[in-house]
Amino acid sequence: MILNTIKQSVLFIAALLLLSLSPAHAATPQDPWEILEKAGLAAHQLSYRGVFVYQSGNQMSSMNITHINHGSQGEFARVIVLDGAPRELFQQGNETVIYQPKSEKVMIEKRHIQSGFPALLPKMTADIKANYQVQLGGVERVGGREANLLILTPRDTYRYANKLWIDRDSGLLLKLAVFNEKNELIEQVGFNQLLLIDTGDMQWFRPSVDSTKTYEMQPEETVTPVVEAGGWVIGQLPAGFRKTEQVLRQIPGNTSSMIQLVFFDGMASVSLFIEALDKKTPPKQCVMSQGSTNLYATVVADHQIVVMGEVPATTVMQIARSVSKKP
Amino acid sequence: MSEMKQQLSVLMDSEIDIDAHQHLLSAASNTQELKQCWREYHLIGDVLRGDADIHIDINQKVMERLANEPVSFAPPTKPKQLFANRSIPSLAFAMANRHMTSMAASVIAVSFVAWMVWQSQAVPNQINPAQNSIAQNSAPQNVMTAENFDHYLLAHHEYASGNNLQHDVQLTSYPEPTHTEPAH
Repeated sequence: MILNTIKQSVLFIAALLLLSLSPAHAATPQDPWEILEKAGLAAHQLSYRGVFVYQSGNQMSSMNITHINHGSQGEFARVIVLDGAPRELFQQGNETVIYQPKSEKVMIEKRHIQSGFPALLPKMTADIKANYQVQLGGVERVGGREANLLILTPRDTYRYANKLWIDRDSGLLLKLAVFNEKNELIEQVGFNQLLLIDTGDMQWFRPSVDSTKTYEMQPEETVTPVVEAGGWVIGQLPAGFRKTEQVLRQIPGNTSSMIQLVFFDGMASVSLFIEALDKKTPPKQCVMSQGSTNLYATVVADHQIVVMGEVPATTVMQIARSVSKKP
Repeated sequence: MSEMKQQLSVLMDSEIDIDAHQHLLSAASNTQELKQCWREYHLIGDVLRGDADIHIDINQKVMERLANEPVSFAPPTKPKQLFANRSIPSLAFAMANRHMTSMAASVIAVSFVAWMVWQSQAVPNQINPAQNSIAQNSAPQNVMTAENFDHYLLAHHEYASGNNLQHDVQLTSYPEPTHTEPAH
């Protein structure tokens, strides 16, 4: 009885949400910022199932996603990596559980992550508008659906350009492509199958448990906001970025801790990690890049500094080089 | 023992007062069989969900105790039995209070999708820092794999994501953790 009532409520809420996002109700907004904002909401509010493909350089992988919005009960999603190692990810609200098979074991990790395709778009703020320009680029077909193409161009070289294809029907982000300063495609992710669904069934929200393997939970970090960054000073940040977070991360039982600072430009974010060098672990000094993510690791005052984000290498390097310790 | 298991099960379902049943928590930690039972319940509670009858409101006190329990699990031999006649606790458990919720809006973070692909596939490109004038003073790079940075990537994505997306859907029903404004 209660279950039926819940199911009915869920269906009703889902129907309302679909209605509120339908083009007939809202008429397709022509303000590109508004289209982007609605795409951000649609990814959370709609229920859908599909297959999307991630591609960067010579890497390509397909993923299956099921996302259900149960209204007041929250959002549930399951993402299964279809190529390579059979990794799975479960999300409820911003709680994420990741299953990663590693030889004999399956590692289970809990995190507070709510991102992932197609839930990539932020609330449109003055910061975004100050750092990027947006324009409509016509109508194109993606995954068998008609999409509005939006082109997001950075106002300087500290961030990347993006092309976004947004479903004209549902308002959902169908595809995103990231371009470097030479206008070369460096990363893209997009649906090749997408179905909007309406279901109260939750049978899909369970992992494929392999009973022959050992399941091991990764120790979980505590994250505490801190006012004082342990005597560390950040000099000149790249234009358009401001600090939004400053936390201390610690694994229970482990004496060492790590400071994390996050810088945000309204669209892209960069994390700066500072931790005391451990005698057992060799210091990391390198630049790495993976799609739109760049990482720069260096050592300052006997501390490991790692800066990473979805920004060009010059941006992470400039942030890393602005770090110093008070004498 | 079976009675204790039953009580443990009831405790997990928050139907009895945790403070009045401290002995169950102690027993669960000290007795191998109960410990196993506890772990299985915990495993389910943490990571599984079986039906549409969703109980977001989980007893915070129980889950706080659980959060301190051992973290190594043996596989369930008959996984389906674990679901039988049980309400399955939410993923939204006590650690919600130990974490802060990010105040940053979500971002263009395809890289979390990339992370899903990253480890199981190729080694990421490595740029020679000497090629970049900004990095000319860097020491030679170490040989490394993506796994060296896995930890950072995941930590980054706790913020580089829609943790605080401003929309009408209430994501969870647990109290919002207190957020302290960072220094400027």
